[in-house]
Amino acid sequence: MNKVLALVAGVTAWAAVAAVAVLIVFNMGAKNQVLMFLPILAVVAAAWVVGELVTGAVFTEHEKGA
Amino acid sequence: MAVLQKSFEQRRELRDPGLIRAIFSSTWLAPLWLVARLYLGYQWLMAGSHKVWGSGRWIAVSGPDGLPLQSFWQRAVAVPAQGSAAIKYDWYRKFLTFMLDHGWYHWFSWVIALGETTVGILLIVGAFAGLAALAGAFLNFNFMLAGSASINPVLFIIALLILFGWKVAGWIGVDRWLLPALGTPWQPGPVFRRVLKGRVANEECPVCQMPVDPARSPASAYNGLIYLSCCPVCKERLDAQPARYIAGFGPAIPVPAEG
Repeated sequence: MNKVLALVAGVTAWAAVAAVAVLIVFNMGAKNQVLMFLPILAVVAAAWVVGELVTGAVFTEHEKGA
Repeated sequence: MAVLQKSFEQRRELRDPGLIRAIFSSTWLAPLWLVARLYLGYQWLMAGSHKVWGSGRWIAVSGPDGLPLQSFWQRAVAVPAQGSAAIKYDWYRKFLTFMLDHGWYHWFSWVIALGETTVGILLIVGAFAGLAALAGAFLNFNFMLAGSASINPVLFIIALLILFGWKVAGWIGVDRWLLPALGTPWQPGPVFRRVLKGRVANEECPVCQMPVDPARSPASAYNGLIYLSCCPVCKERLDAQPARYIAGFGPAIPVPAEG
């Protein structure tokens, strides 16, 4: 169950990155590339934290075994 | 013949220097790769967004799809009476002319529009970053062959760098989890092991004869079979000389699926 929740959390976090990037780029066009880049970077950082703290804690054993 | 044997029979592997390995294989520089990946992904997503969204889009329009692509190809294949043509290679001009004559721009515009958008998303989330960079580089290469420079040379170089650093380019991204889970043909991960379930593996390390754990031991693929080592050091030795260690191999067991 822990694995499923950790996987869902990780997938959701990175799906949110994709959704935010698409929403920002598609709605704002090339108005201000720096202003568009920063929120994408922020949401990537948030997803990375979720991956390391939530998904990583459960799946690190798999990585060690690979 | 003797010269060929002398040069190639040893199959020597030339190792990269430490600096190259630090740049292209060390997770320490993952933040740098993240910036390169986000910039490239952002550019592709923006290029794709113009083709799938808005009034000037290429696809899903009220009339026939791909008319902007048709115009682009027509300009590219045109040979002016004076000056030089946009396309330098005749084979590429013939290739585009063939696609124009057969009306391929209708469906090819979908390939380009959705391809650019997909490459952008994959690079931003860092999923299959190397493959996404390769696809982006292929698109850049074709645009450049068609005579369109723009920012394609810069994107092409960044894509090549990400391609070389594929192992760490997506470390701050989905690849951090995706690549170890999938593994590679030469180092199968849990997902590959599941696919290869039924193939046989060993119950003792081929290098030091210590017991191996089918669920956790490092795996190597050789001759279509999975061989497990007891530790990373033995795996390295096995990968370097598989024939030496696998010859006279002991009893084999099926690889169980991992839960």
